[in-house]
Amino acid sequence: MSKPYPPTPPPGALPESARADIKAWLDGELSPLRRLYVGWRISQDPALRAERDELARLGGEMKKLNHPTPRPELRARILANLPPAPPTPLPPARRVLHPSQLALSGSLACALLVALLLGAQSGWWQTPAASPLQGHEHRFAPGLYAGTRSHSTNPSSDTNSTFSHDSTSFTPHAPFHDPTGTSEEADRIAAQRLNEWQTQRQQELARQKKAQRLLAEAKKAQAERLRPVEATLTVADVAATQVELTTLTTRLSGRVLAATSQPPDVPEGSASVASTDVSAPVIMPAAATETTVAFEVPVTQADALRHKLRALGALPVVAKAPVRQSAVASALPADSGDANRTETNQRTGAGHITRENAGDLHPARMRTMTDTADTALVRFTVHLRPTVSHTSSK
Amino acid sequence: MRGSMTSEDDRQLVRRIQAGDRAAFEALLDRYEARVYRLALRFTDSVSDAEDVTQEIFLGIYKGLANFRGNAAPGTWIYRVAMNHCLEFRRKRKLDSVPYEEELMIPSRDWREDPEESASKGELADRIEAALQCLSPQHRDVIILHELQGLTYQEVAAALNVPVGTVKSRLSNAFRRLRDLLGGYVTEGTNPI
Repeated sequence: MSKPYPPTPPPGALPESARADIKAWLDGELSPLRRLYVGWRISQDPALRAERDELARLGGEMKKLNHPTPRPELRARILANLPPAPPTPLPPARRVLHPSQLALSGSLACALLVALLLGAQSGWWQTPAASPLQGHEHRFAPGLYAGTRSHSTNPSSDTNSTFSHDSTSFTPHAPFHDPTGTSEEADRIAAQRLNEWQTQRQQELARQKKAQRLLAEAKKAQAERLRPVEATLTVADVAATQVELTTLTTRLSGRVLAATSQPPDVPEGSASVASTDVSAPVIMPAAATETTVAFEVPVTQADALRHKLRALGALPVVAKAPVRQSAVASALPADSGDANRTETNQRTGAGHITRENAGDLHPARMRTMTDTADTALVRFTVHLRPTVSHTSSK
Repeated sequence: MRGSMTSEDDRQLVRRIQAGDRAAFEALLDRYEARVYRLALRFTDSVSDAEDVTQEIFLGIYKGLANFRGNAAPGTWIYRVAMNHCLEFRRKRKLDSVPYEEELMIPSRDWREDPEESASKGELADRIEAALQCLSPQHRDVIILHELQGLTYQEVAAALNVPVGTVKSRLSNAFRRLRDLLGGYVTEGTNPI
């Protein structure tokens, strides 16, 4: 079933806005599209047509209203009262600035004025005079003589051309103001400032040297603490000593890496029994004569194990080549817990980085070193040999 | 009258006036005197007051031409000046205090009931004039400027300093109000489109 075209709008359904357009439609003040729409609605609705006719008739009647004309005397009266001066247009009005623009302009003007005054006071536009202190000192003090007058001893020399300084440690002085205007006074002030600057530079150099020395000591101490330890113990009961060392290592958050036992007839270097189960005590063969146990403890706990080894009667032998942290970490088993590495029991002592000397080191470098010291592991290799009995067999 | 304002001619007259040509102002006066006078008469309802207001308007135009920069058409600007004077006159006379909603002398019966009594055209004009007085000042102003002065919607909007949409709605409402006030005077049959 097809709909009729054009569609018939419901009667009286023209909205109020469209009804207001009827007058504009009559006056020809609508846009072409709107005029088409309103005209179509009017043609479809008798009520709208009636309203259109009423408004059109009313408008027509209003056009017929009386249009009075002014009396001729009015024209002459107006012309007679005109001012004699012609209405000449005023020149283009000056641009009125916004208050914010005025404030900004005023601020810039004041800043420029102050800068000019300060510049005039310091004489910055003049050529810097030569230093009365002939020599190499003034090469390190740019602008030191910026306030001196041109009547100095050597006006032809250019201090800026010979200047060279260490940009990392130099703190330039502000150009000074010559209060007297005399050459002697300027030279005296220049010499005083030069001395101050040299003192400051010496202090800075001393501070740098101290920092470098502390850094080297810290590195050396850290490397020393990270060196693997190898010790040989002669004990009566090898198994009991091994268990004791294993217990201590566990308490120190360390770990037993391996334990080997070597029978007497087997040549050294060919370990026959190896155990990587660090949790279970090593079962020593009855015929074993020497057992080698490897431990790893955090560097912060290494001293405790060293003391224990000394207490057992053996002087630890420090290995010659230091073991890097990465190498030690790679030697650990895969299930090595990281919790053991987070021990932050940093010990203090000679050669260690302390709160007192930490301020002389760069913070980033200091932080790296302390972190490394806390998480590094020290490897201990202990050879346990049974005590040889010289008693005669019965 | 609508569309008779030739902006280009007016601009030339304005330039000549600004250059000191007094004859150009006389030409401008000839062009706008009657319209301004009728506008003033609508607001004053008195010939003498209308002449005074008209004189003030043209004096103001003459002085104001010194500051006229030509952003608007001279005709629109002239009507703007005239409306300002007329509204000022109305404000002084406090005509706005008159209750325009009151029915003055508008007959309520349909004129078709007694065609002989309403045969005269003058009677209908008088009734329309009376009905105009019953409108609100805003509605009356747009009818005066558009229907009686012949300004377009744009020119009325510029003269009254209101949007064009406001002029359109005010004019539509004013005509409906007039139709209601005049009753059967404007309901004589319908013509097909």
